[in-house]
Amino acid sequence: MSGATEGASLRYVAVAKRYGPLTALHPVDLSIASGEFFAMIGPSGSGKTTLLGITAGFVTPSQGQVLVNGRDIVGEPPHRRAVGMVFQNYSLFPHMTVAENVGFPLRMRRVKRAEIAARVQAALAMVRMGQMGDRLPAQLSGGQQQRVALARAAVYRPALLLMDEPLGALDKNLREEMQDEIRRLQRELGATVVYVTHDQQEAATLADRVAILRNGRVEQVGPPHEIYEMPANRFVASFLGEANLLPLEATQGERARTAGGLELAVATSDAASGPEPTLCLRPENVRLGEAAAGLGNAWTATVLEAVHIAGSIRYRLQLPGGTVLLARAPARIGDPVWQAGATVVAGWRPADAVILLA
Amino acid sequence: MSRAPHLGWRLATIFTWLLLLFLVAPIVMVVPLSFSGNSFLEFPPTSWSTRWYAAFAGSLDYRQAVMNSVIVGLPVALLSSIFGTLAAIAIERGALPGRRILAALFVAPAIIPQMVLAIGLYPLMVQVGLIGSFPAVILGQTVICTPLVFLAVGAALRGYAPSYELAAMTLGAGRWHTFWLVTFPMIRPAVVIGFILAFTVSFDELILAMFLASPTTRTMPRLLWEQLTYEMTPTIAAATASILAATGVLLLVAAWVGRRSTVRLDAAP
Repeated sequence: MSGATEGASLRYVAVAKRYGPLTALHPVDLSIASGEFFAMIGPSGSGKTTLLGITAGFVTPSQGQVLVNGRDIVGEPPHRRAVGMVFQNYSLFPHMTVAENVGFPLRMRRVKRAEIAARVQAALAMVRMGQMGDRLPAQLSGGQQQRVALARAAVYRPALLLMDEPLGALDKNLREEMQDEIRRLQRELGATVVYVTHDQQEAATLADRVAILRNGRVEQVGPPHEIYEMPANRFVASFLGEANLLPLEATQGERARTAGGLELAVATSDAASGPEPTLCLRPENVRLGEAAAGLGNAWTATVLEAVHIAGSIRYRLQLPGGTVLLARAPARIGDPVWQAGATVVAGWRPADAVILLA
Repeated sequence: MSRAPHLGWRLATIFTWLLLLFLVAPIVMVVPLSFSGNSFLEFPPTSWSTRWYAAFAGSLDYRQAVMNSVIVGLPVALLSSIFGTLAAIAIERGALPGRRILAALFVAPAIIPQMVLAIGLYPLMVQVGLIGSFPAVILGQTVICTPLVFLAVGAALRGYAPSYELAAMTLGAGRWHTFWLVTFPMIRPAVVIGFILAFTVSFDELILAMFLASPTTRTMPRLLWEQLTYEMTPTIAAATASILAATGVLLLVAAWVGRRSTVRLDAAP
């Protein structure tokens, strides 16, 4: 398949969904650019699947508009939307062969038989399943089935591809392999992708931008690294990666006091006027031993636990006053390692911590 | 290893076989009776012959009754399959308010005593002038057979996620295509099984046939009932044994269809 499609632009204008007294989705406004890989993440019940269902046409929103290339598609039945969708359970039709499955959308579009065969073959080759056309879905592994599902959703070159936890049923290694595959496919196709997952790492790996949802509201939108560095609130901070969240009791100028009684130096406390100001400190920004000396914040801490995880060591430390702090340090050969029970100086630069308002 | 579980296992096996005997023996009782050489129904037969089968095959009454049962049974099975399938799809896939209550109502005719249904239907059929006709029996039996298809197809629909149909829709299939190309092939075994069950139940149904049929439209069970009251010849046993054989074959077909579909859907690599 050559020739990338022009990805569709997608805009949600005050889209909301209520089921009687229950609100599944509060009014959402989002703009997704043509060709963008956009991920929506959040715990179950956050509204991400509802929003995807509204986009595909399975769910009718209670209000708002869904604009695809500027045209409102609310009320259009799913089969007229030319939106591709990949499901977590693949949803390959069990009574059709792989080739019949991939040819299905073309058949629905009354494409000629010979052309269907050629395009099916090209689409299967694209997902490296060129030899599997005659198999039944039940004869394929989970990863192979998901490749076929991708080919089926891509064969008619939809300008918008929706993916609902497509890798949720696969084991970890296969998932990482398929992530590369999906990203490559999206570049080749040029389609706009809206990708729903509850796996924040997957979202960060794949997406240009991420929306974090909770309780039917969008909590924050932005590139994954930006959200990681500047989370909007405590929920986002703890949902995306690990974070030390220290509630602040009082702030003045560049000084602050935590609820645990620590006197801190902070970059600025101008922003600390929110209802529940909290200091957010990522574990990798906590420095230990000599590296911590002379930083704006430094304490002698007791190591409660030290766990070696794939190339880094995760420490649980206790600071004076009982505050527990997570720290992560690369496990380079020759670097000092502190075992449980040892004391170590732990510190961070004021600029490395962020003050959250809520 | 102690002997106790071994003994328990043996007892359970023996009990299972006894239970099976208890359930099946009365059914196969008619087989020796049908090969009796005696002139009356008595057990055990003192001589053997196949003349009652000849009598059964040669009887115009029986032929007519078998014919009537087929004339009634096929439309009953067809109508039940259509109604039961549509109802199951509505309940399992539709966003209906009160679907649990509706589902219970769809199953109700199979559970409530058929006498209640018969007594209710009789004056109604008289009123609309259908009493004694084939349509009367067909409609009546469709009421009790629809739940069978409804249950079979409902179970099949619950057996796979609705995402298959949603996938078909996003791929460009309208409701009609989605039903014929995706839903129906996936529930077809259940529909076939439901059809066969409905036909067998109709073929065996007596109470509605007694209330709603007439001597010209009487079905096999009704004829057998009438025969039993004044003529106790082993022809009845021969007729019954023939029905038993036919029913057995149909149920085997249903089981085969069910197994085949399970194998296909479950075949993991």
